[in-house]
Amino acid sequence: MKLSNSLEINNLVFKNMKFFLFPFLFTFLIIIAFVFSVSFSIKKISSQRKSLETLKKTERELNEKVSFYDSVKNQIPEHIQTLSYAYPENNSALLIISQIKRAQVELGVNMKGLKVSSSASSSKQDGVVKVNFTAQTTMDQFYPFISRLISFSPIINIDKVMMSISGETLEVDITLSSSFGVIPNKMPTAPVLSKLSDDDLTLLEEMKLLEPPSIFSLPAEENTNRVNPF
Amino acid sequence: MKNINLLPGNLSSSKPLMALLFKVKIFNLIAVIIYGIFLAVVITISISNSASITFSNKKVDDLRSNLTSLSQVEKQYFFLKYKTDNIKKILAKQSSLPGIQKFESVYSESLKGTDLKTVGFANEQTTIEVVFKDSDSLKNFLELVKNSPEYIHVQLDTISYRPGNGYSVYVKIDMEKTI
Repeated sequence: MKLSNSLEINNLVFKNMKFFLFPFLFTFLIIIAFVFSVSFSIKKISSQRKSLETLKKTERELNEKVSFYDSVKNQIPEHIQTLSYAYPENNSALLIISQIKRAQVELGVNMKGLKVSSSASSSKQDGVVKVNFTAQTTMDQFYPFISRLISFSPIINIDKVMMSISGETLEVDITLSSSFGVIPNKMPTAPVLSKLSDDDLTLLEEMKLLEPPSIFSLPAEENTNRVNPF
Repeated sequence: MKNINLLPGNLSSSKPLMALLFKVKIFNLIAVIIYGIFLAVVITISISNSASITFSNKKVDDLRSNLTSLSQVEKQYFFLKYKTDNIKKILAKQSSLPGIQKFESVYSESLKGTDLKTVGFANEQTTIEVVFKDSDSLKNFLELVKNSPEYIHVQLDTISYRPGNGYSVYVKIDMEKTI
């Protein structure tokens, strides 16, 4: 009997405790849950926002690239052609000599002592062709000759000119140089779109005005029978 | 059946405690509602973000495949820019051309008819060796080169006079750097 009374009292005390403590416990739990949820949601949403921003940025960049390349794809081959004449990929010695010869024939300038040398840079990416010759001409012919030389592709740089004048005749020792450059084998994995500036476009227009060499190479045609040249 | 409180008055709970409990319960109720709203908002934002991420991922994939189809154009454009930059460097190199071009006007204005011996052009420097018959033509020439804005430094290296021959002059002229 005593035992059952004490159990009943304990039960009553527990029920009362539950009645008073439960709301406070619930408040405590809800605050904990709220704090945890807020921090978790902030982390989750901010990480989502971050990846969304990155994706949007990538999307913008890709969109810009795609629409840009789409808009310029028809102009590129022409520019490539112009630049391959102005700044060839292979040793341009033969092209330079042919252009000098062309100017000489057109303007009736006598030439002697033609020396050609070429050097590749340590990176083997680009090289320079140096040409030295003596031209026998007059002052009236000299300027058109120089103007003609610089109107050709590949780009010719006039390094040194030494004129010896005797009466009307000029004996001019001319040193020219021209650069060529091998295009890199690899391009960056994700190249940044660096658009051609206005200066670059002006330069391309200027390069277009240069006269391309009259000798050029053609790729061999496959599966064609050898034609008798006679 | 009605619940009747038969407990004696001294065992009943105190009124302030009951009021506090009531307030706590109200607070809990409001907190639960706010928490529910908060969860609903967070879940909505999260779902919407996930949908946006999926959509953007798909779009990026589409754009990447578009770019892959334009990879040849991309490569050509990259090398176009590369070559243009290289050409700019080549054009920025020192050249004798500005000196040669400037000399044309100097020659036509003050050296025609003189006994011009040698003229040299090396990068920005022009050297002229000439014999003037009289002092007037020498003065003309020197004034012309001195007043030319393109020539920044004129150095009269040697000058000698021989009667019957005239003034033999050797001049070194430095040009303004064009680039």
